[in-house]
Amino acid sequence: MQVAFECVNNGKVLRGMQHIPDHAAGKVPAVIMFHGFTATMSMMYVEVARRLERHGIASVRFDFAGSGESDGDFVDMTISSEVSDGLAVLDYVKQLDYVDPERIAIMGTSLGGVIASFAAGKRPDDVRALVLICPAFIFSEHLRQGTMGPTTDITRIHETGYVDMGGIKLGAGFVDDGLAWDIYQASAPYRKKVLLIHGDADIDVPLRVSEEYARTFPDRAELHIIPGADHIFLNPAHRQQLIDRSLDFLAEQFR
Amino acid sequence: MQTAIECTSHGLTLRGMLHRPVGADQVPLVIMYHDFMATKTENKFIYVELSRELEKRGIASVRFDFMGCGESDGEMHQRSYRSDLDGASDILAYAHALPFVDRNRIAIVGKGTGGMIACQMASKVKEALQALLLLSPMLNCRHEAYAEELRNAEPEPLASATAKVLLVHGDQEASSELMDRCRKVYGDRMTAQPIADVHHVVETVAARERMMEQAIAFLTKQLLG
Repeated sequence: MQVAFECVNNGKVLRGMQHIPDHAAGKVPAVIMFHGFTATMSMMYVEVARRLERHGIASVRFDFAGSGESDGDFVDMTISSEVSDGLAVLDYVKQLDYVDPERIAIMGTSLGGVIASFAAGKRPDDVRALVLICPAFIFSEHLRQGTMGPTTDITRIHETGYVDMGGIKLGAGFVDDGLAWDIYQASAPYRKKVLLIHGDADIDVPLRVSEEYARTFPDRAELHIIPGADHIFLNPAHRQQLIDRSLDFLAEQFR
Repeated sequence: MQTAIECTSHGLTLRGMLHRPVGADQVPLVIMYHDFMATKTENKFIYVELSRELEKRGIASVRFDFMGCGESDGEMHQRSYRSDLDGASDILAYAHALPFVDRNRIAIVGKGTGGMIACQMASKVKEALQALLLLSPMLNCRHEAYAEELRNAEPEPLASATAKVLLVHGDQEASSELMDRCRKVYGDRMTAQPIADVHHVVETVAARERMMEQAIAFLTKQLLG
């Protein structure tokens, strides 16, 4: 069953969807899904959520403030604002009467993967497992070299207050905030299992990003490479592989 | 106020959003239809912005995901131009039945392939139609069967004497086929507003802002007088 929900963070309404398995005996495990940069909770996650629901796993998807249906303006979005939104939704999910609070996982895609890793670092006891899909940890490297993504020049962002990301404003606050995050320091406090899924044909976030993360946290991280897959897993076969592997991993971590 | 809503089409649940100006009654209504590969938020969330701006001005709006898209039930592969058209009619019927809507003041918006759907719905609304807004309308998409049905469809003359049509497009846009057909059918009821140096209306922040200004000015003038 798919049900819309709202939760408020910093005075802004975050809007999302929950998928509640039918005929569940007792409380069920849940996966919270974090979408990527300029994306929404829909797209690939709807497919993942419906598949999980059939396997008795609930999921909760939402739009970060300033994206999709949620309140706020995109220009005000920062990594910190998204981590804060993610934690607010984690708190919301923990108190849902059908959810087993001991079995909550977070799945994040692209920038949402970064947010998931940082949110888990802030609440290591509340997160049972992490799935990071082509996580965009390269943001840090890019910001240091003066770009957002591989090519958008951000060196003069403080003059205008924003850069144009194809019809939407990336705010200067994103850059200042992003530069203050240390990827591995922020991720380190979380010590449970992490599944990284990355396509080797991803040109937006190269595979080496996930390889480095897996090398940094060898005790907890497992990298699953999907040959030929791009950043958005456009090919249905790649997408199925992503969903299959995530489902196996989550079922194992929830056991 | 923004509220999640549902309606049914061919036994499937379509999911959408309603924006209703708080406290107001008998308000005009805008219905927005999304592009082939998009969802109810549209590219870079322009439909969300448009809905919020209209709400501030006392205009309600409704945006749904087509079957097989976004939050709505159904599979992408079951989708056709026909199923979108049926969905669009069911959405229209749902919106029309909302008790706080002034049924004599309706506007329809369509982006991309949603442009032709909007044209078809505009003729269904008949005398109640006040405005038809087309944003970078297209008769093409990556789905060949869908594109073929789309190309065979024709806009129909407007029944309403007061309705106007605004078409906003990038001046670098490749396809102007639908624009030509609309011009033939709508004649001087239609204004085409090109935006310089872009391929579509959401390509740059500047283009988006111009498009948004024109959209809001047009819809408020037609719906609020």
